This record gives sequence, structure tokens and C-alpha cells, in this order.
Amino acid sequence: MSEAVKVSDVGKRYGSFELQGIDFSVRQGFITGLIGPNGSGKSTLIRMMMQMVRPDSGSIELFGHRLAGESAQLRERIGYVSDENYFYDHLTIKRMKKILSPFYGSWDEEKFRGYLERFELSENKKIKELSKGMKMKFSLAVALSHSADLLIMDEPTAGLDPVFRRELLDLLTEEIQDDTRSILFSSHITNDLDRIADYIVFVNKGRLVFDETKDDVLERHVLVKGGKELLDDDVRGLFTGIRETDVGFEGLVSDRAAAQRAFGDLALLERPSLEEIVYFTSKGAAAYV
Amino acid sequence: MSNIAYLIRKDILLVYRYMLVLIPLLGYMAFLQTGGFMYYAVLPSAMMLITACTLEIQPANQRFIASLPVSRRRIVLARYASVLPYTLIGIALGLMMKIVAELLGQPISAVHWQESVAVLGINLLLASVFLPLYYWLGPKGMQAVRLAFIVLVIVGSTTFGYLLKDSLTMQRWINDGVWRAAPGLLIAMLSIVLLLILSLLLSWRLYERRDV
Amino acid sequence: MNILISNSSGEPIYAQIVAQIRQSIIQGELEAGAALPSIRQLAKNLQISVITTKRAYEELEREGLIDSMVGKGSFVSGINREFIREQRLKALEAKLAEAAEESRALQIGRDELLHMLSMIYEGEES
Repeated sequence: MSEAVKVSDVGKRYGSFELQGIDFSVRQGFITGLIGPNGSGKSTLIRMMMQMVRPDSGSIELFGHRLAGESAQLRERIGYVSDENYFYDHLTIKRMKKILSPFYGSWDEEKFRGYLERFELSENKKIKELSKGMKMKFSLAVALSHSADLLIMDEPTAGLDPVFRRELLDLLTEEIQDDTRSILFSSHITNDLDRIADYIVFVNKGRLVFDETKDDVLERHVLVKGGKELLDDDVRGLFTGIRETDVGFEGLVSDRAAAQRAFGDLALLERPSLEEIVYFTSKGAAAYV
Repeated sequence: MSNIAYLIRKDILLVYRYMLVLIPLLGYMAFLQTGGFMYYAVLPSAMMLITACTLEIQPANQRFIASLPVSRRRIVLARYASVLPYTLIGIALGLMMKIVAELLGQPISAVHWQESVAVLGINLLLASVFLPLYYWLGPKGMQAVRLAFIVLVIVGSTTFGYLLKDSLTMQRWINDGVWRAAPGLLIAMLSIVLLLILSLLLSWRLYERRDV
Repeated sequence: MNILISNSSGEPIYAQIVAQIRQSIIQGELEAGAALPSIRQLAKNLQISVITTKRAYEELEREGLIDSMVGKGSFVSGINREFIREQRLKALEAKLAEAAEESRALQIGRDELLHMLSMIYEGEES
């Protein structure tokens, strides 16, 4: 399987924050969700793919080309949606488009107009007059209008209402009907875009937790709920993260079979949601309420 | 090459509104007769360069530029190249001011085409000092440098303009033709080119390493 | 054919798809040779992962219920009418065995059970 993005052993230090030994890929033809709590390094990784940030160590490949000083042309093949409004606030949509469209050889004006209409954006509006959701839609319209092979979206659902979030799912699945295209999105709120994600890359505190198909992730993990008398030091060691209260505990075990052996019928074993996996993993064993 | 043109086009689309503000100011100055042609030409072109840079100082906008399919080197090169169109616009404005001044009954001294070349020289000189500072300091220190530069441009371009205009080389060039002024011109040209190259290399080095 | 995915059932999504397509085939709703939606189309319609639908189709293929041809898509296989009937008979036997077991546990005699069955059978007929 070919890879749209390959991140190999990437490290980066920013003051006290450190990304270390990050390895993952964005497979061609699939949707990959980059998830993790705020401040876990998702945006930095995405900015590295866009060559905004240089890794201190390791390497990044886009479409099989290792990123180096003069890899700028590769960005023509990327539709990028930033997590902030990075357009010029005082310009109208029309003028902003006029500035950026010539940089993309395959800019499709008709497609762009189609998206403006679909997203109900008026091109005479100034960008600073747009709501957060509308800015995101404009950014998306730009990203989708130059036949990009890879769509990279940094927290795209922030500021979007639930109705449009659902519409976004349709839009994105439409994009990958053609199995040569790939999508990477990051999100700290899961149970959102990850409905349609094929692969999940989970980073936490600058480290990679896993890069697996979503189905494997969901099947491998198990949420255990039970009475506190079941917990001893050995049992606690099984948990990736655990939350203990006065009336019992719930915790995440990343090996379903091991949990079944340990608890049998003594505890409640449930399928966790991705959100629960993120929650328990980032809280770790110290989670205590 | 083409994306350098698009980058310059972007800057002009971004700054032209701000330049409209400058025109009445220049008109007022023409009325007060505070400057000559060189001043009227250098001020708007230098201001355009500084404004274009400041407009991009927001980290988000820096990321916009970095996200374009254009290499960092070309982005920097475009900044240096933009001095040319800015100078042309500046010269056009300078000539306009001369006409305005004459209409207002405050004629300024005659304009020689050689002065336009000198305007380009001054602009290149300013850019080669300003741009490495811009790429070095980034968003943080830029506010102060920008102010300092605006003052420098306003004060400097007047005095420098006068100095240059009255300099022996300029006088010879205007009065006696290019060959009489050749040694001085050659030295000026060589030093500007050398400075530009050094400045460009420095800016490249600074901007290529920057995380935005 | 309708496919309805429940997010709260706890059953993996791919298994839900397999069960529902299998059901449609067994009930004859999907006839031999009928084309199934492409993997990507189905993923789009259900707003789920491509990998999940792919896995469901692979499972159906393993069961011999569908054939997938590269570049053409997936079709309900034709050779299995008899096989499916056998499968259904087996399932029916299992259910009957369960009913017999339950009857013994409740101390219901054979005749009484047959009577109940014929009542139910006719009741559903009418």
C-alpha cells in the first residue's frame, strides 16, 4: 500500500514540550484521524508536513518524496485547512481567492464557486466578518478546489455546528470515492469525524500511542467496570488508565483477552468509544475522582 | 519565476489601500514644500515595502505564506524583487507630486531621470538593511524596528536625497553625462549589488530556519 | 436492500453489515447476480470507515455468499441457493432443539408441544 505521508522517528523540542520518536503514515485512499488531547503535538506534526516547522530529527515523506529545502511544489497536491484563520482578515473572500488561486496550477474556479454556494458564503463578505464556522468553510472550499491528492485538516470541526459536521462527513467520503486520494484530520474531540476514519493515529504528550485501523483499536481495547474489591496491585497493572470512585472503578485495558482472563464474569466488560480510549490513556493510571 | 510575480501581486493587492492614505499626506507635504522629487518617490516605495512586511507579521499570516506551494527562498526573493515595482510606483507618485506642487504654485526643482535611478539605489539600500532585520526579528521585535525604519525613511530620504542630489557624482552625471560620473557610479553600483547579495543570503539563511 | 447500523448495540459494525446482507440474501431480497454497492459507496452511505465495509464484504465472501471481482465490484453469488437452504434448515433444527429442550425443562409433553407448534404455525398462516 502506498503512503501519502510517512513520518519516521520525528523529534522536535520547543522549550519544555518535546515530540519524540513519532512514526506513522497516512495511507493512500484512506481517512486517517490524528487524535490526542490539546497540546499533545498534533498541530506541530501537521505543520511539519506543511514545512512550516522543521523537525529536529527524523524525516517526513510526502508522496514518497522526502521533505527537504525545495519540496514546495509538493504542496500544490495538498489541500490544507488550518486550525486558525490564516487568511488576511481585512480582505473579502473574492480578493483573498484572487491572491491565492494563481499559485495552484489546477485551480478549479467552477468547483470553488460551487462550494461557496453550497456553504452559503458570499464572496463580497470580508473575512473578519465571517463567523468561525464560516471561516472554516471558506478554508475548506479553498482546500477542495485545486484537486489535491491529500487533504490535511487541523481541527476542522472546531466552530462548526453539528449539522454542518455531518455534511462534512459526506463531503469527505465523496472526496475519497476515488481511491487515490487521502485525508488526514486532527481532532481532540473524538466521536466526531472518526465515524469515517479508517486509521487512527493517537499521540499523547509528544509520544505516539498507536497507529492502527480504527476497527482494531476498538476491538483490542476493553472498558472494565467493577467493584473496588477486585483491584489489587497486579490487577491495576493491567490498566492503561483507571478511574476509581467510592462506588467502584472503570478502566481501560488495551488487551481484551487479558482482561477477560483476569475478570471473567466478575466485572462488566464493554466496548469503549474512541473518546474513552483517549480519555483513559491521557489520564493514565493516576486518574482519581 | 511566475510564482514570484504572484507573490508581488499579492503584496500590491494587500498594501494598495494603505498607500491611498499616503497620497493626501504627500500632497500636503508638496504644498508645504518639505521635500524634493527623490523624497516623494522614496517615501511611498519604502513605505510599501515596510507595510507589506508588517501586514504579514501575524503568525497566522506567516503560516499562510508558508503553506503556499512556493519555497522559502522564493518567498524571500520576491520580497527583494518587489522593490522594483514599488520604486516604479514611487517614481510615478513623485512625478505626480511635482505636478501637484506646480499646480499649487509651489514648483519644486526640475527632475532629472538620473534621480529615478538614484531612487532605485536608495530603495535597494533600505531593503537590504530592512529585510534581514525583518527575517531575523520576526513578529517579536518587528514593531520597534518598523517604527525606527519609518522615521529613518522620512528623515533619511530627505537628507540622503539632498546629499545625493548635491553629491559630486550625481552632479557630474546630470550635467556632464554618464562617463564623467563613471567611477563614482561604478563604486555606488558595486557596493549596492554587494550589499544586496549579502543581505539576500542572510535573509535566506534566517528565513529557511524559521519555524512559523 | 436496507442496512441499518446501530451504534449502541455493542455488536461490531462490520458484523452488523454481514448479518443484514446475509439476511437479505437468504430471504431472496437480493437475488443471485445482484450487484452490491461498492465498498466506498457503502462506507459513504453509512458514514463509516472504508476498512469496516471492506471487512464485511470479505467476511461475506468467505461465507460464499458474494463474489468480488476486481474493478467490477461485488455480486451475490449464484451457486448457493441449495447451500443457503441447508444452512437455514440447520438453523431451524437448532431452534427446534432449543424448543424441545425448554419443553423438557418445563415438563411439557411431546404432544402438547406439537399442539402448541401447530397452533403457532396455523396462527401465523391465517
